[in-house]
Amino acid sequence: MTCEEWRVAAMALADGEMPPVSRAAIETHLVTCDGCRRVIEELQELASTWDGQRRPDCYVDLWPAIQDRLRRPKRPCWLPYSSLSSWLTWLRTQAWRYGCK
Amino acid sequence: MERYQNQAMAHAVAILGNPTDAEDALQEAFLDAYRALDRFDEGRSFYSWFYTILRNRCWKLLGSRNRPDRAAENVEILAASGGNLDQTLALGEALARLQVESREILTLRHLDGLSYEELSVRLGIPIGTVMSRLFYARKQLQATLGGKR
Repeated sequence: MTCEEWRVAAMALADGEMPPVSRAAIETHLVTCDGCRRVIEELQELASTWDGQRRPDCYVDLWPAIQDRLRRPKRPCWLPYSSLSSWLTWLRTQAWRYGCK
Repeated sequence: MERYQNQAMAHAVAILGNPTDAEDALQEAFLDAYRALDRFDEGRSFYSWFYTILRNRCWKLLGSRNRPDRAAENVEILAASGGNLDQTLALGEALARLQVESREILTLRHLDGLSYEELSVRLGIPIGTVMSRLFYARKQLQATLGGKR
């Protein structure tokens, strides 16, 4: 495993989740690798910046607009070619392509 | 709908970084959900299902308008609840500078407290991807906060 993989696993462990390798293996790696230990300590410190934070209160009332959209009649299904002549051109092209003469 | 719209709005703002776009996406998502209601599996959490629809709408909006995936810096992604206001502002600004995917996973984890398994379901990615995405998002956040200090 690379150091980057050990760090990902160590953060999962720090988050209280199940890492892909054993706790003992991660702890052993952290004891022997100063770089990984430092990164994990810094990221754990960063986690404290989230303390006391929450999502803002958003008050929206979308119901009137949605109700309005639901009441509107369904749009007709427009064909990609609006005029008869363009349809005929399209049909001719298809007939030519598939060998119907 | 009334039960979820404020929570969903906060999530859409965190993804799109802009309340006007968030409202548009949310409105479309509710309509999509209404039309797809017969496909909703009742064994699943409604909000988790709806979040997938909302997320698709948000990404579609980001793509169609060819917007940069950074949020406006003055948008409120966070609110302090008795915490340090300066810290809230700094963290909010740093989050606004992150890529959408990083901002999304960090806020779902740290503000909503979702477990890796819940994140996996919510984002439709394997747990291994949750682990690495969260790790790199934290590294990005650390670099962004460090750059501002």
